Amino acid sequence: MRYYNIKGEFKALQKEYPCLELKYGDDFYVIEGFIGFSTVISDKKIEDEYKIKLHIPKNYPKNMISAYEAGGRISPSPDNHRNSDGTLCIGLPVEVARILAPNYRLIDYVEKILIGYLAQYSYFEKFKHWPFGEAAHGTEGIVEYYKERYNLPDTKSVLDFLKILQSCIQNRQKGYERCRCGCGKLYKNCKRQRKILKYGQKSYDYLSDIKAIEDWLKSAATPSYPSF
Amino acid sequence: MLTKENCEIEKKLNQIAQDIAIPEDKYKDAEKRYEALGEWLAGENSELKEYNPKIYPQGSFALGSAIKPQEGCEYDVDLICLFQKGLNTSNISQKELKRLVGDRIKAHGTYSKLLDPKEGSRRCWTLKYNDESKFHLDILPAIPDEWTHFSEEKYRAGAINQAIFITDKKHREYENITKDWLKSNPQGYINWFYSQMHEKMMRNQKSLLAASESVKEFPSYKRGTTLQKAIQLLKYHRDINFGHDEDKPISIIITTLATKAYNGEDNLFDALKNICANMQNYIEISENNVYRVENPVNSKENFADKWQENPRKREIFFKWLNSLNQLFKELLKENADISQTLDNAYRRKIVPKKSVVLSDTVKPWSL
Repeated sequence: MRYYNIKGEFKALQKEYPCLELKYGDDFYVIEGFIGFSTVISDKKIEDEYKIKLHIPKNYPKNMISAYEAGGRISPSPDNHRNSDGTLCIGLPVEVARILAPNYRLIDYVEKILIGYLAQYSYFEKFKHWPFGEAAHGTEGIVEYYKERYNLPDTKSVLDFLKILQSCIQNRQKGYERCRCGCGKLYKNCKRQRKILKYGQKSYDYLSDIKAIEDWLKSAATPSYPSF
Repeated sequence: MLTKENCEIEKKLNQIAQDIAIPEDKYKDAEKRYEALGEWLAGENSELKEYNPKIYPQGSFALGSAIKPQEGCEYDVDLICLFQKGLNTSNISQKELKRLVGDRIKAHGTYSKLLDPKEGSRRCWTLKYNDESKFHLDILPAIPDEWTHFSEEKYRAGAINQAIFITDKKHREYENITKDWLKSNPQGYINWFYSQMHEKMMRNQKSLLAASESVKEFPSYKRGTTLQKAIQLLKYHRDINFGHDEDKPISIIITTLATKAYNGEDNLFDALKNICANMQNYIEISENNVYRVENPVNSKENFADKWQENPRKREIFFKWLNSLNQLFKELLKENADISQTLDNAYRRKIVPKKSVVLSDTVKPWSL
């Protein structure tokens, strides 16, 4: 596992956001304090500050950061994209991975992911709608994301695609092996594979998304009987 | 109703109130600890068991108006340990009562180590928890008041049976069997506070509350109400601006006057503004220029009695109140910088707003 320099990353973060502190917990590092930002969304100036808390797992980026709004401003509700355990639902894990890869710098997490969400929430508070829309809840959102990004027609093709992606990225194929995408060519000659690898995330574990989609398909297939 | 500008003030005040309030889990932590202590004091082998001891919180912790301690200080949880039967002023002295409680605490390995100072403080035994929770429990031994003096004092109806006697090392009769003990009634005050708050809220917000709560009984020990937040902000403002002054306004005066001046407002801005404007109307000034902030439960007690012997305390109180009313004047000016003004008043670190360009933003998504 690659060593993650939390001290150095935090130092760089604190330079830009001085009202933050780093603490060392048992299972994770904790960053807490205030974040202030000024930005523009859809031509509207959005300026705000939030009290936040971040739990950074010791094996980050293998496990993702959990973000909390600690100032009591965002009440728990799916509409606010805040879970009942207090964590903010900042975005699809695969999207977060795409933006933060390959170095997963803390400053990038704060500016691109956390402030991205908080600014959208400030906009939502003021104008009563999310400026860039919302991803559908749960696995449906995950499927929609892949369909859109890789131009796939339906859930089944998303599942097939992800399985290929997973096996190619996680267990890199040797150039002289038959390509796993099923085209018949040698891996080194398959252009489709190159494309997939170019847009996939090496550090992302697609297995969890594959499992979620499989479970989702199963529950959709078996009709749920009303309970009497 | 809040205007657009006042909404910003309201939002910021709530933000500050949220920052300074003690988090719910800390309340729960403290409850667990004092309940465990109560079980030890009334435990099977305890010599105190026959006196039926009961532990309950008093002060800001019970009133839901506690605020985070200043840097380097700890949370203070005041508790009463009341012996409900078998002990009275004819069979025990203050010193003996204090010793009884102290001995039982010392008989417990862990509590014994947490006791600090070992010989007890003036009115209580203090347990200091060294872990990350950073609080200490002050336990005041007490017996029920014997009502012999009540004809002299006008007591609030219903509060009499909660009145207690507590111990005080500096009391002239500390070591003697006598009817002369230090009197108090924290439970009576707590009940007054909650019933006042509820009554005023019902009057003002009848339609809002009647739907959700029973009219007959008041909600027990709520936290996070508008009045509680207002009192927290008042106390915090006092701490920030007069914290090191030994003549600073005391919390019981602030709490009592704020509760009397509160008119059931449902938003923090109006509540605070009106409380600050009207608090002083509830200070009585007698003919010979004696200032009284009457204990609403016991009319004989004057919370402002020290203002007589030390007029500076009175001056500081009005200075503090004046600075609050000035603050509201500033906030209500046209083009006021709300954020800056409040951050200054509460000496909060101004959070710089970094300019950020959002590109490739992630859509919010929930499980």
